[in-house]
Amino acid sequence: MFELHWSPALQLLLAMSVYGIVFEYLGFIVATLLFLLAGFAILGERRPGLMLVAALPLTLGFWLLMEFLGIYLGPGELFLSWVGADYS
Amino acid sequence: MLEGILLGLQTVLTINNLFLVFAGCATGTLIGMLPGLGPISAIALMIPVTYGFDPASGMILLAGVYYGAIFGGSTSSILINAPGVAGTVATAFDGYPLARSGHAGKALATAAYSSFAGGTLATLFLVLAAPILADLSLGFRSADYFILMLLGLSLVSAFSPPGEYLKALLMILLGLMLSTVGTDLSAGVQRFTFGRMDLIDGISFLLLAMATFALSEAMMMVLKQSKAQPLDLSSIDIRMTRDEIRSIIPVISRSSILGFLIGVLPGAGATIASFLAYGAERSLATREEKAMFGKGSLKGLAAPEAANNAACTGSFVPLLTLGIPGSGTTAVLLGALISYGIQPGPRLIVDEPEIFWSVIVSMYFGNVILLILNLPLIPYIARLLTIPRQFLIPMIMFFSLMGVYLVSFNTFDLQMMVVIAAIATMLRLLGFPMAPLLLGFILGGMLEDNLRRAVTLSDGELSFLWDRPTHAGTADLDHTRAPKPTCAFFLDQACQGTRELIRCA
Repeated sequence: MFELHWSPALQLLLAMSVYGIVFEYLGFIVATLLFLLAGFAILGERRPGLMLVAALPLTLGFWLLMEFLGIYLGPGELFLSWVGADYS
Repeated sequence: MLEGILLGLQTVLTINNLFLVFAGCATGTLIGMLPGLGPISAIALMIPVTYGFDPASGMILLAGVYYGAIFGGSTSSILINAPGVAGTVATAFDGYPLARSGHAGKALATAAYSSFAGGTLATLFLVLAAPILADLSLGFRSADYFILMLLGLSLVSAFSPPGEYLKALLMILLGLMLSTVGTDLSAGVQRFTFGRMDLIDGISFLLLAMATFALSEAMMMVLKQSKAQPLDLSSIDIRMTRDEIRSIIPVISRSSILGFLIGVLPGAGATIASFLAYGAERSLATREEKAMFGKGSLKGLAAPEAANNAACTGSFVPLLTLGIPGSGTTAVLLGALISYGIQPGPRLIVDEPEIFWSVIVSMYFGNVILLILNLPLIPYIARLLTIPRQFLIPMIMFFSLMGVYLVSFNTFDLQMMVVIAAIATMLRLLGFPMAPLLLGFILGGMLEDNLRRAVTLSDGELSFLWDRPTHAGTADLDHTRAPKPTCAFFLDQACQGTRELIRCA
C-alpha cells in the first residue's frame, strides 16, 4: 500500500521535543528559528538561502505580532545571562 | 424569533464582526485547502486567536473557519484529489475527473454554488428548528442530559463505517478516560496527576485537539509521502451554461434537506451526509446520467457538496440547543464555548441570546462571503497548494505548538503534545478514528457532572435512569442502539471465524 517514511517522522517528533526543552533557555526567536530550519532540513530541503527566507519573516513576524498584542514571550535565559541580567 | 433574528443582525452587522466573518472564512478556506488538514485542525489552530474577543465574536470567527475549511477541502479534493476532510471525499469522486478533463473551473464553480445553496438553505432550517428544540429542552434535567450524552456517544460508534464500531467505541472510552485526569471538581480529589503540578488542571482540550488532529495530521503527511499531482491552473473558466445550472438545482435542494437532517443527528456528520446524498442522486439519475457518475458528472459533484455544507450547519442545532456536540468538529466548538466561560445548553438562547442568534445570522453572511470572495479568487488561492511540503509541515507544527504554549505558558504542555501526537499517529496508522476520542474527552466532563448532580438530587438512587418518561424513551433508544455496534462487530468476527474454519477444513 503506502511506504511509510519513519525516519523523518521520528526526527520531527524529536525536533519538537527538543524545541520544548530548549524553548525557555534559548528564548522564542532563537529556538523557533532553529526548530524551523531543522524541520525544513529533515524534510529534505537543502537550499540555505530559501530556508532562511521562509523561517526568518515567520519567526520575527510572529514575535512582533505577540509584542503588538501585549503577550509577553520571555527573552530566554541564555540572552539574559549574556546581558548580565538577574533572571531569578 | 423575529426579535432574535434582529438581535443577531444587530450583533453581526458591526464592522468588527463582519470583518471576523470574512477573516474566519478566508483563513478557514486557506487551512482547509491544505491537504490533510481538516476543519478540526483549522478551528483548533484559530482558537488561541479568539481568546481576546468577546464570546459572540469568537464563535462567529470559529463558525466562519468551520464552513471555510469545508469549502477549502472541496477545492483540494477537486484540484489535486487530496481531500483534507472525510466530508469532501465524495466531492473528489466527480470533481477530480472534471478537473482532469480540463473543466476545473466549472467544477469549482459547481462546488461553490452548491455549498452556498446548501449552507443557506440549512441556515433557514436552523433558524426554524433551533428555537423549537431549545424550548423543548428547557425542561431537561441533569438525568436527561446524562442519558442524552450517552445516546450521543453510542450513536457516534453506531454511525461509524462498518468494521469500525469497536474502534470508535474504544476511542470514545479513551477520551472519557483522558477527561478524568486532573482535579475532581465536586470532591476536590486529584486523579491521575502522578503528583505533578502540571496535570492538576487536567489536559486542556485545545492541547488534545491540536495533538490528535493538527500535529498527527502533519505527521501522517510526513509518513505517507505521496508524489503531489501536478497542478494546472492555466485554464480556469468558472462560467456555466444555463442548462447545467438548471440541471443541478433539484439536486442541490434535495441534498440540502437530506444533509441538514443528517447533520442534526448526533454522531452522523458531513461525511455520512455527503456519501448518502451522492448515493441517492446516483440511484435517482437516468441511465445515461448514471454512467457519468464517477467520471465527471456535475450532479455527482453538486450532491455531496450541498449535503456536506448543509450537514455542517445542521450540526449546530444540537450544539446550540442542547449543548451536546454530535461530531468532532462541533465538540471542538463546544470546548471553545466552555473556555470562554459560557455554559452551553438550552439556557444559551435565554441567557446569551446574542451568541445564539449572531452565530446563526453570521452563517448566512459567511455563505455569501464565501461565494463572492472565493469564486473569483479561487485560481489565486489555489496557488497555496503549490507551497512545498517541506516548508509547510514544520510551520504547521510551529503554529500548533505555539497555539497551546501561548495559553498555558508551560513547556510541559509541549512535551505532552509530542507524546500524544506520537500515540495518535500510531492509532491513525492502525485505523482508529480520532474524532470519537475528542468527543469522548469533551463530553466526559459534562457526563460526569450531570451524573453526579442527578445522583445527588435523587439521594444516591440510580432509579432516575428509568423513572422519568422523557428519558425512559431516550434510554430505551440507548439500549437498543448501544449494543448494536458491539453485536455487529462480534457477528462480523464470528462470521469471519466460521469462514476461516471452513477453509481450513
